[in-house]
Amino acid sequence: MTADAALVCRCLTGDPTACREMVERFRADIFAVCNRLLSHVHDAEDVTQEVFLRIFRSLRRWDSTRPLRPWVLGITVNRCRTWMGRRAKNPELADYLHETPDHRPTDDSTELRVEIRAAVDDLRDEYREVFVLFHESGQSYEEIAEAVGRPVGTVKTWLHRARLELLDRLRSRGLVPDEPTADTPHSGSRQ
Amino acid sequence: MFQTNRLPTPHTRGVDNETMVMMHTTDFDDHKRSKGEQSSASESLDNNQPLPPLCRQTVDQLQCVLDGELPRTALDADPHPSSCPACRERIAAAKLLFSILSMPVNVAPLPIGLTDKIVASVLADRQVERRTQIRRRAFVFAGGLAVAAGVFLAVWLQWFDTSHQNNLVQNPEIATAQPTNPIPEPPHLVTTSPPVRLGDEFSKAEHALLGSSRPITEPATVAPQVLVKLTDVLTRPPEPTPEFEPARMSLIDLPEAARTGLQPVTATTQKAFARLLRDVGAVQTSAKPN
Repeated sequence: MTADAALVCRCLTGDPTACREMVERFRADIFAVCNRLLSHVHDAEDVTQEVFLRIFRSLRRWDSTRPLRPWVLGITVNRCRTWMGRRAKNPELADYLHETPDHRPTDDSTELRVEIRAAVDDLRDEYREVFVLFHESGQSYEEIAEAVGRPVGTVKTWLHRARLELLDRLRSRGLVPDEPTADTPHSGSRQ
Repeated sequence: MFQTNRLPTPHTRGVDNETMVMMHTTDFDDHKRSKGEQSSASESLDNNQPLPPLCRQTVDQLQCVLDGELPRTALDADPHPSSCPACRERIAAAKLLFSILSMPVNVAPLPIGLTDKIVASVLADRQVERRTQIRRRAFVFAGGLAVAAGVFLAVWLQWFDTSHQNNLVQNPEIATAQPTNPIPEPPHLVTTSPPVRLGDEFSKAEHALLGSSRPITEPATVAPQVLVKLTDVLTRPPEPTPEFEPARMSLIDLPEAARTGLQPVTATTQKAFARLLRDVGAVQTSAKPN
């Protein structure tokens, strides 16, 4: 029996210590994914709580022959989608009050990170999910495919497109440093 | 902002480079055709405008490096970007993205007390779910018990009826002859009544209803006549009212009437008073003290 299966078995017996262990094991990843996908700390906290409720309710349905983390992240992504859909239907009037601007002095790297974050936020939901899971949560293609419920090829396609859009946005914003290279004629290049 | 600075390693991916490039090109094209949605910004990099083979190779190599399939040095080893400004910009943007992804991240701090809150909500939810399960099981058990009791009762009644019929068939003298039992049996238990047939009963009820229709409908036919009689009063011409003589012509005759009316009374009173005096005098004369 794997460590995941043992932990799940202990949780199913109603052991509060096992519940706490499970929460402590996945809370950071779940909260990070929620925070990145929702771009809202309070929403991320609420959704993290919902995700754990869902996890503990459906622990019996978990296939013990498969890894636990993609299953957990799949529930997380689904809850985030549901939350985003609900938020799109009922937009808050004073949403701007939630995110107060940070007036700390920023350097170039911070500006770049903010720019990339904005670019990631502008991606389509599917692209953003796979980008966050791949580059920020460090999940493999197979794990992401299981989490989002799509084939591996589709995940790769989405990730590919997400990167292309990001690179193009960085280029269009002029964030790519100019290179002092000599202009050499090239017949096959696009302008 | 970014949680980790982990970049995918070739060991974790398990897909070789060729497969990777093929997947990117084929899946990407299929997806593009099926969706038909693409921002204008990325269309410049997309396959609507087919890239030259060298640029395509550079872009695919770039994706492989971002996937962790190839080391970053593979970007520098490609000679094509040096002669292609577009690919040079792509490589520069990819390096910028790499540098951002590789930076030490600003981990979003977990809210204080999040773990305790989650554990408390999970335990509370479990209790609620347990109560719901207990209630559901109790309902199921009670329902099953009721069904079992009903089935048992039906079976017992069937068995009782069958055994009773068999007893009567096997021992017909029970139904005809009087047993030695000194207690006389009621007649309805001894004689076997014919089974009730619903068709017969319904036909009987129908006949009874048809037979009783006349007295039921008779008053209904009388009702219009009663109504005519009632309304006839309203249509008849008014009859002349008889004139009555007044009891007294005027109030002047009233003292005389009172006097004549009270006369017998006063005479009687006088007579009674006179008799009282007479009796009292007789008592005083006859009763002498000793």
